[in-house]
Order: sequence, then structure tokens, then C-alpha cells
Amino acid sequence: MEAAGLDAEFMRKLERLTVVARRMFPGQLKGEKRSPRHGSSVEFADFRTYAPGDDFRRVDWNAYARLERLFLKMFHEEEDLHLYLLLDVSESMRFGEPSTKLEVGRRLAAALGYIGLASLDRVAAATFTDRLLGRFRLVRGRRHAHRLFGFLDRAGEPPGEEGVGDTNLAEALREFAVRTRQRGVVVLISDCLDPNGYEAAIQTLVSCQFDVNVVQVLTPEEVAPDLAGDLRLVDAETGETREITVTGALLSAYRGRVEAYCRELRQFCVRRGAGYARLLTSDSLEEFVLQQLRGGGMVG
Amino acid sequence: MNLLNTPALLYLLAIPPVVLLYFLRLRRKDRRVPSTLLWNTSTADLQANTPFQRLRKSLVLFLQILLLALLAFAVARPFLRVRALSGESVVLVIDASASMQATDVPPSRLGAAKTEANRIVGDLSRGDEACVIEAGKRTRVRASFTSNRRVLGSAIGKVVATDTETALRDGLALAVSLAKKRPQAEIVLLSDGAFAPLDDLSLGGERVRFVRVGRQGSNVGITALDARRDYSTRGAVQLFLQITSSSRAATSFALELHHNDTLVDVRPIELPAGGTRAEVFADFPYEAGVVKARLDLRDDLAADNEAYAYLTPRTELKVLVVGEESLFLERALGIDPRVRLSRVSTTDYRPETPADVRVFSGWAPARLPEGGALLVDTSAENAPAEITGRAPVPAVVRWDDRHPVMRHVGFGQVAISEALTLSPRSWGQVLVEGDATPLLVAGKQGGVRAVLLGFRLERSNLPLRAAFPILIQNCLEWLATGSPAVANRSVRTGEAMPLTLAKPGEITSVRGPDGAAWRLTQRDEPLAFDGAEQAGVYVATSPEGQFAFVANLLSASESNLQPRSEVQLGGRAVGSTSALTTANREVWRYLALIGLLILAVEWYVYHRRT
Repeated sequence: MEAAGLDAEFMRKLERLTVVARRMFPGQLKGEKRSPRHGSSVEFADFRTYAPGDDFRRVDWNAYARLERLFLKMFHEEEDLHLYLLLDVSESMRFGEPSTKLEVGRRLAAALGYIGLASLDRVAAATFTDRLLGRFRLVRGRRHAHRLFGFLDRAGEPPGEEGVGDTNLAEALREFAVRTRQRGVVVLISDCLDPNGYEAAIQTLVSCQFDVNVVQVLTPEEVAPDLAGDLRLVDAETGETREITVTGALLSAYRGRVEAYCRELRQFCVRRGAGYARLLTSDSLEEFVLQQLRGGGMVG
Repeated sequence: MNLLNTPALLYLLAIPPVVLLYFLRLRRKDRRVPSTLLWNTSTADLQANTPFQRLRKSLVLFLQILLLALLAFAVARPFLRVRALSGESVVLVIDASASMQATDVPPSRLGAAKTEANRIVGDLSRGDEACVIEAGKRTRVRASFTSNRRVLGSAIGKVVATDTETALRDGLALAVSLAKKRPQAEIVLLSDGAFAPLDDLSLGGERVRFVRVGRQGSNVGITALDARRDYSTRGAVQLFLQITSSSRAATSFALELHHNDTLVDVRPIELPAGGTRAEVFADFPYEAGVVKARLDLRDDLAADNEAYAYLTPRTELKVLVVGEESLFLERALGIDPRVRLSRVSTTDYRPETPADVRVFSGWAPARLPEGGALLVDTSAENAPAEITGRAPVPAVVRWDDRHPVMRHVGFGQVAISEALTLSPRSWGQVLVEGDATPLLVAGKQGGVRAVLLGFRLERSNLPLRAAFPILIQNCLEWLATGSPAVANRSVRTGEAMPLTLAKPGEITSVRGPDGAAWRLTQRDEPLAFDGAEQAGVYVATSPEGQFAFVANLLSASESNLQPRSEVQLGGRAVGSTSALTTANREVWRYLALIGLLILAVEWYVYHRRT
């Protein structure tokens, strides 16, 4: 089974993973569990250290009593875990060499979706720009993987029609939250470069009891631009222009700004109990999933 | 700071187009980026919104405008007024004549001129060149064009003053020819102005600056001394002296006469300010020897306080007349008491018969022997002219009264019935020119001096005119020159003295008044000694014997130490000025250098930025 730019070897590795939820979701039915594992419906998975903003209810007070340090308990989702893959297909995602941010985002979504399907979770996907565009209804079981991959392959296609649009995270995610009844794990795949800000969007999802994970996809050129001369920068989405004269000082100021932006985004997520990871289009997707996401507790 | 080429400032109008071009150049390349979000915030502090601010931020544009303004300014040729010579090449002509020895300015006028010359050399701009010409009686180039100040300084140090008159014509002519080869050359004459006006000197449009050295000088000098045997009074010696004062006050002093270093006469002299006085010593009772006239006083110029005369011993002049008898000629020759006249017929003539002057009348040998010869109505192979025919009734057109033979001789009313037509040889000088033929030709070649009269005396009215005995006397003097009887024993300092004393190959040694010695080798041609630049007695010694002569300054213009505020050069008056005037020194070279520097900085800034 090979699709969506994922090779068989990688897919075999993915099959051993599961999507990790940091919370239990209501409406979970014990009897319907089809996990190969035994035990209670909520299976302990791991601890992680407390970060400001985390839900106090998830603190392991026993551990605190013993060690006087705050730890969060993390659980495997065993049954009826809803995994929502939200893929940004706005114009800004179409940058990047040799793979665009959109292509990398599709493959990441496919990988995560395959993890979910392989561990019998319910998986849905949606693409958005300033609003929700395409939706892939909840499915369960590996047999639906082809359909999911097919949906993802078409995501953002064709450009210039529906796919073209400005990012408006807040509006698109509010729409998603309103139209989605079942709470679950949300993986937001976007560059998060929204002039209106990402705060409202993430806050909306967190407030609606979703377990939010943000994967920020950036190109290396965005992090460390290779520009020279007098330029007029044209925003691919808003058409806004900005005239610059590239100097060493300007470039180092920009790099500093990018790092600060990403740091702020990570802090924002962590404070609200959301996961955050940054993926560069030049990075290896396999490494990213198997090491970064697993290390960050997003998959296990 | 002023500008030579003010209209060039219009080039400044090139600046607005540059600014315009800069705006056009700033039409930036479009570049699509995923988002300008981060650029927005990160460039907020670096980006200027208004064009004016953008200009202010652009160091490159500023440098370009600065460069352009600088270049426009340089093209406008700004200059600074500095005290310097205005020429890029300077010809220094230093007067080294006797009057430059005057001590009215310490240490002497020449010393002051050298100081001034050194200052001029010291003030030369970088790259300027100078040469040094010493103008005494002889002109010497002490240093040819160079910018090496050490060489110029040592050349100036070598200039020495002599007891001679100034021969500034030669020095200035040389300076003009040197200056002509150079653009922007200037001739600087360092002199006291004590020389006769040089009206016939062509300056050829060259700039000449006259720098006067010396102030009011007080001087009395001997300006003329002549000792002659007056043969009309049995050959007694007459001494003639002229004393000239250029002092502003009356002076009184003693005039001493020495004969062979023995004081023989003293006369008290009183001279008014600027006065001239002639003194005559008739019947001077001494025979051969050196007479020294000396003024017993101290003044600013010592060189003219002594003068020398050489008394020649009584001699006779042997004149041999060959050919037909000519009453007029023999009477005229007989006037001179020195003359011992003898006559031979053409058949008895022998070339070896000793004579100081030979007169050939109507006949001449094929070749004239060495010595003087007067040819009347005849010619020879080595005569100054050859006969080509006969011309009836030639009229006198003009005559040359500068030649010694023609001194005080006029041919104004001379009529001639028939003459030879003469064709002068290259060395023959025509003294009297007729309408059809030269009538009187003189010349010297090898050992022969000859005067050729182209007509029989009986066929003209010349013998009846007062000019005739004078002409004959002049001919005798001139033709006998070089024979010991009339040997010249006195020269002006710096002039050449004929010294043909020895046989070819022998050495003649000359000792000067200050002990200086010269050794001269006699060759086939006549020998002349031109080293007599100090006044005094010179003694020449050769195996054939001794020969003494004197050199004198005797120059009224050199003795006159009155300051001259201007000199006459090439028909115009050149006023004295300081050598260093306010000259315009252009500074565009430095501006161009700064421009280059700005260009380099601009290049660096431009490349550092991108």
C-alpha cells in the first residue's frame, strides 16, 4: 500500500504508531473498543512535565505527593478517537523548493491519517484557506486509506480556483469547530503566517475542547532568506507590497524576527495545552514523524 | 579661492539627473513571497517611507552627488593665491658682472642675488623645473632644467662675479631659447640693472621678470684709461683718464699713478655728486711698462678703483711699397712718424723682404705673403676679392663705418672715373659699396690681412679729401695688428687677447693678477686667450719670450651703482618686481585625488550593502 508520497517502509513504521491524546473525550464507548491492547478504556501512556497553562485536572497528584513536582498524565486513546487533519491550502503554502509547503503538508497529513486509520481511529480531513474548502468525512479502518490519500492528493487543486485564497485561520477554524460535533485530536498543518494572527484560531479550538496540535510548515527560505538588492516584496495572498533594500543588518533582523515569531507561537500553544512542532520543507518527513512528533508526545 | 572657469559650474546641473536616475534605479524588482508579515515588522525600523528620507539614508547617492559636485568644482579650476612664481619652468639668469661685486647690500649684490635665487628654487612647486644661467662676459649654463633642488642650489653656489661687463644679451638670448621649448616658462633676471639697454634683444613673447638686487650704492670708478704715444710730439706718452662718480654726495680723494709698482704721481680730485672728470697726463716721462691708476678711497665697488695701461716701447713700422710710384700714397703713409718707408720695383720684389705692411700699387704677386697688405687697383689669389672686369664711373652707394679701417672715414663726395669690378671672396668684407661693384674690400685669412682698393688713386678725387690720410692711417693700424710694433697690450676684461707667441706645439703659460695660471698649447691657427676676467696685469710666457698685457673693466654702466627700477629689454621697459608674486596655484589635482578616494569609498559602500 503506497500512496501520497509515502513509501512502504515508512508506512510499515507508521503502523506501529498511534495518535496520542492528552485528554479523555466524552462519549467514548468502552464496548466498542477494538484495540489489541487489554485493560481499562483509558490506558496510561506517559508522563510529561507540567507547563504553565496545562489543565490542572490532568496533573498526577500522586506523583506530586511523592516527588513534589508537577507531571501530566498522558493517555492512549483507545476507542473512537477522532482525528481531524486540517490542512492549510492557501496561496502562501505553495512556496518551497523542491517541495512546496503544501506538498509536505499533504504527506504529513497522509502519514498522520494513516497512523490513525491503522490504529482503528476515526479520521477526518479538511482543507481550508480563509474558510473550509474540502471535507473528508470521518472514516475508520485501513481500507479507507486510499480514499483519504486521494482526497489529500487533490487538496488545494486546482490552484487558482477554489484553492486560491488568503489564510484566515480564525474564520476557517471557527467554522470547523461549529460544524464538528465529535471532539477529538486536531492536527493543524499550516505556516501560521496569518496577518490577522493565529491566536484566535487556536484559542477557538482549545475552547471547544479539541486536543490541538499545531505543525508549522516553513520553507528554509522563509527562515533564512537568500535575497539581495533592492526588492519589492509582494505578498502572495494579500498582494501587499513592501519595498526593501537588502542589507546584512536587515537580513539578521529578519531572521531574529522569524525565530521570535515561532517562539511566540510555541509558547502560545504550550500555555493552552496544545502541541507544537515546526517542519521545514527541507526536513525528512520520516525523521520528523518518528522522532520529533514521537518525542513531542503527539504520536506514540 | 577663486575660479578660472566659472561657467564649468553649470556641470552641477548634472546632479538633478543623477538623483532622478537614482529614483528610476530604485524601481525595485518584484519578488513574490509567501507573506510579507514578518518583513513588515522586521523592516519597520529600516524602511523609509518618504523619498526624502530615502535619500538621506542612501550613503551611495550622497557620495555620488559629492563626487559630481567635486568634479564640477575641479573643472571650474579653482586656484589659491599663493606667493610663488607663476611659471612652471623658471630660467634663472644671474648677472655675474663687476657691479654685482658691490657691497651696498651685505655680503654683496651677487650674494643677495644668490639668496634670492635660492629662495625661488625653494619655493618651486612640485614638478616645476628651473635652470641656472650665469651671465658674466661669458654665458655659462650652471644647471640645465631640473627639478632637483640640491642640484639647483649647488649650481647657484657656483656662480662667481667677475670684473667684466655684463653680456646680458647672450644670457637672455639663451634664456629665451631655453624658455621657448617649455610651456609656461618664465625668465627671472637677477641683476642690479647696471647694463646698457638691450633694445635689439628679441624676447619672443616670453615672460621676463626683473628682480633687482642692490640699493643706493656709493661709488667712484675709473671709466676710461688710455696711454698713447703721440708721434706728433716725438712719441711721448700721453695718459688719458676718466673718473665717474655715482655717489649722491661730493667726494674728494687722491688719484695715484704707479709705474711698474712705483708711485710716480698723485693728484687730488674732487668730484661733485654724479660728476665725471677727465684727467690728462701729457708728456708722461716713462717708457715701456705697466702704468696703474688707482683711486685712494673706499667705496662700494672696489673693482673699478684701479685701471692699468701698458706702455709700448718706441717702435718703427716698416712699410714696403711695391710697384709704381704714387705720390698721394707715399705722402699719406709718411704722416705717421713710426713709418719707415721703402720702395722696390715689381722686378726687385722678394716676398721674404721683411716688412710690417706691404703696399702693392697696380701690381701684386700671385700670392700675398703673410702679414698686412694694401692692394691698390690690383688683386691676388689670396686677396679678399677677385677682379672680374672694369666698371666706368661707379657711384658710391654706401659704406661701413663700423670697421676699424673706416673709422672717421666718409666716402660721401668721392667721385671715381673708373674702377675694377670686384667679386668679394667669402672672407672678404665689403667696406665701400658702389652701384656696380664693391670699391673697398678688407679681410683676413690665415696669416694674411689685406685691404683692397678697387681703383687707381689718380682716377678719383679720394686723395684730395680729408678722409684719405685717415683711411691710410687706419689701414696701417689694422694691417699691422699682430706685429709687435702695434701689438695691442690692453683688453677689456672678458675679451679675448691674441697671444700668438710660440711656434706650433709649444706651450704658452699665462699668469693672472690673482695668481691664477693657464697653460695654452699653440696650434697652427692663431691663439687667443679669453680667461682675463679679473682686472690687472697678465704675463704670458713662451719659449719665444715674455709678453705682458693688461685687462681693465673701464665701464661706465658697471661703475654706476645707482639703482635702476627698470631695465630696457627688447624695446620695452621691464620694471623690477619681487620674484615671488601672488601666483595662482591651481588645486584641481587635489580635488581629483579626493574624487578618486570618494569613488573608492562609494564602490566599497555599494558592495558592502548588497
